[in-house]
Amino acid sequence: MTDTTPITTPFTETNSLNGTRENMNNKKVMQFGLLVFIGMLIWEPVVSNLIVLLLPDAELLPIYLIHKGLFAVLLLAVVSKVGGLKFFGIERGSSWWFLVPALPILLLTAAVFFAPDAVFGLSTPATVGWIFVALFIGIGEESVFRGVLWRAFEARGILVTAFATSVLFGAMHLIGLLTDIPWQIVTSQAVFAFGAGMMFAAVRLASGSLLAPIMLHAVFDASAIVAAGGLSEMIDDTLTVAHLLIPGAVFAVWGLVCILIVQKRRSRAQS
Amino acid sequence: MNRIVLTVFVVEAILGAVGLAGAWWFETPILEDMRVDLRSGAIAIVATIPLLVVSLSGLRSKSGFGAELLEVIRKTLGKLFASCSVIDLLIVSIMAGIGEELFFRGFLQASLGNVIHPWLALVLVSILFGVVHWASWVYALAAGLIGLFLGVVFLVTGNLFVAIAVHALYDFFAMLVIVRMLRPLANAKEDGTISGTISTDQEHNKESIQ
Repeated sequence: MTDTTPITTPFTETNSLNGTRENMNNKKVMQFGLLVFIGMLIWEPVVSNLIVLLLPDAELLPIYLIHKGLFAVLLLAVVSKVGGLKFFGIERGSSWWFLVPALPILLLTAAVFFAPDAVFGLSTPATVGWIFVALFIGIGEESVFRGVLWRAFEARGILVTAFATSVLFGAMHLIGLLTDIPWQIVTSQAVFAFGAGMMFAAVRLASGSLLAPIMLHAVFDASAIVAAGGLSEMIDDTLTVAHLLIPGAVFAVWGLVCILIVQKRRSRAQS
Repeated sequence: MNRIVLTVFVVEAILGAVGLAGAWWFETPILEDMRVDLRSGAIAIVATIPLLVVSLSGLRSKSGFGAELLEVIRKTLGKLFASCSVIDLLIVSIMAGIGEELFFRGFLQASLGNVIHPWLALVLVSILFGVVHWASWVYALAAGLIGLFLGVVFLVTGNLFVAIAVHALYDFFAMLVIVRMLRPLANAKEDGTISGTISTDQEHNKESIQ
């Protein structure tokens, strides 16, 4: 709570949240953001391979549960220790209007269920397991990009923050180049992730909370995995570059427009 | 999924999306004013009962207006929804409630009500609601009156959830009754007899529930 003297860095000026910690100045948040981003880049390939090494006969689902679950739990523990969950946006949202920036992903989530190749071929335990994986992915990725990195860039303005975190979010998905997934698919996934990042940034902005993008991210991932009948079934011949690039472009444009509208309203409210 | 249900789902989802985005653009506080609680649910149920009673007794009466309306419904809605199961009808009703209320009451009526007198906005939007339901003039009139009722409910409660719930509840029960009313008629036309209606009716119900 900011019941003491207000801190006069540009960083604290732009945040309207009351979870500010006195010990987190702009420079510290930047350093912490860099650390978490690099940590994630290392975690993704290293830990998944480590689990495969330790459990050679394990199926995809338990590997993902451990890999993503451990990351989410560890990240939340570190974040709550360093700046507080509230400081990084994990708190009650202030508005339901994030539904408007979220419209494209809500419609895409609905469309996933009507896709001609939606088979829903999973057993009930597997479905529940994959839903948890999606939840862990949502918590992990959103806390890094719209939580920690968001705070790190925030002093530079809303647009720069949204763009920078989305570029990093897209770049993170290039890790897929290390796997045997075709490079065209991986790069279009990165573009899709950039667009989704812009939209989640708008959602984060409109809601004032990290919980909204976490929820949307998890619901979309869970729907896509469950409808395809498992993660390994998602990338097949029916998934083309256009399936990723077109929604990615729509997400990016919609997100950008919503961010501009929110920004304009904020500046008008201030003057 | 049934293709008709899918079409309705997509159309209503887009209508709801446009309504939500429009209300956001014009800064109409429909979400801030929305309350989802037991009290609102109870109000919605109480408000649905007179609407259902009036419209269905009108349909059942053999007067000119009711008979004409039933004939229009048989030609349009009846054909579309005859093959729908109860779950399909439920999905259609909920989507219709959310999509149409977000667009007509939440976006159009509330946003217009900020510019002109709220009751004038109510009348204009109800006329529009009737016009876009044009299947015949009787049907448009009936839809317009139902729209007027929903608009009044929204205006009095100020809570869009009540309007959505009334719309969904009304649509569901009205469609349930109408589909059942029309089934013997449709079967009789196909068979050319009336004697076989009861058994085929049951067959139909079994099929559609599965």
